[in-house]
Amino acid sequence: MADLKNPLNQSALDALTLGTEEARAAYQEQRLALDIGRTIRHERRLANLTQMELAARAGINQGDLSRLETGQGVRGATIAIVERVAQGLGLEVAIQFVDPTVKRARAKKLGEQEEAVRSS
Amino acid sequence: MSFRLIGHPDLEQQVPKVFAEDPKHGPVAVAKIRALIESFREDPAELAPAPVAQVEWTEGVRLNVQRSEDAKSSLVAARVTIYIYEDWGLRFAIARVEFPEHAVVGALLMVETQVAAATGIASQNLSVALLAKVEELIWPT
Repeated sequence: MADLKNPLNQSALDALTLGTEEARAAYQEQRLALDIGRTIRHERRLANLTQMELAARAGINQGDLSRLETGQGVRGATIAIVERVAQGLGLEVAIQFVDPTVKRARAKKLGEQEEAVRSS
Repeated sequence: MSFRLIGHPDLEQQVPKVFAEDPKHGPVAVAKIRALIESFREDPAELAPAPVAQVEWTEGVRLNVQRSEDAKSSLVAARVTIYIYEDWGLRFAIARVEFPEHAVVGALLMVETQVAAATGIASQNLSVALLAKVEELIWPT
C-alpha cells in the first residue's frame, strides 16, 4: 500500500495555478464562459427545449449554441448572441457586478437546481 | 451536495515544469484547467474540452477519508471517474470523486505538456496508473 499523501487544498492550488496577472485573466475569462454556458443550459432545460429548438428560436447555428453551453464561447459578438438566445427563451440578459462570494453561492444553488432537473 | 477542490501533491513539481517548458502558453493553459475543474460539480460531459479518455469505477474503490483536520482517516467506498484531456497544449487528468452523502471532490491529478506526454504512457492506458494516485491521497469531504 502506498504511503498516504495530503492533497493540495484550494489555496495551494491558487498559488500554483493563478500566479500571474495573465493567468488570472485567462481564468476569469474561462470561468465567465463556463458560467454563461451553465446559465443557458439551465434555462433551456427549464424551458424543456432541445438545443436544436432553442437555436432555431434564437436564429443561431446549433453548433454555436452548443459551444456556448459547453463554455467554449463563440467568436465575434458573444453578448449579441447570448441576447438572441435569451430572447429565444422569452428572457432578457441582465448584467450585474456582484460580490464574488455571492456569485459562488448562486452558482452552487444553480448547480443543485440543475442536478434536481436532471434527476427528475 | 458539497463540492471541494484539491490537487495531487505531484503538481508542485509538474506545474513549474510546464511553465518552464512553455512559458508563453503554460500559465494561461493551467489557469483554464483551474476554471474547468471548478465546474466539476456538474456533469463533465457537458463541458468543453471533451476528455480523450475516461474510466469510471462505480464500486470497489475505498478511499482514506478525513472528515476534519483532527479526525483520524477512515476507509470509505467512493465512486471515482478519471478524465484525461489533451488540450490547450497540455495533457492533464482530473478525478471526480463522489462520496456517500453527496460530497463531491474534483481533483487535479497531473499536468504535463503534450510534447512530454508524447514520450509517456498513452492517454488510453493512463487511468489505472492514475487510480493509484487517487488511492494514495487522504480525501477531505
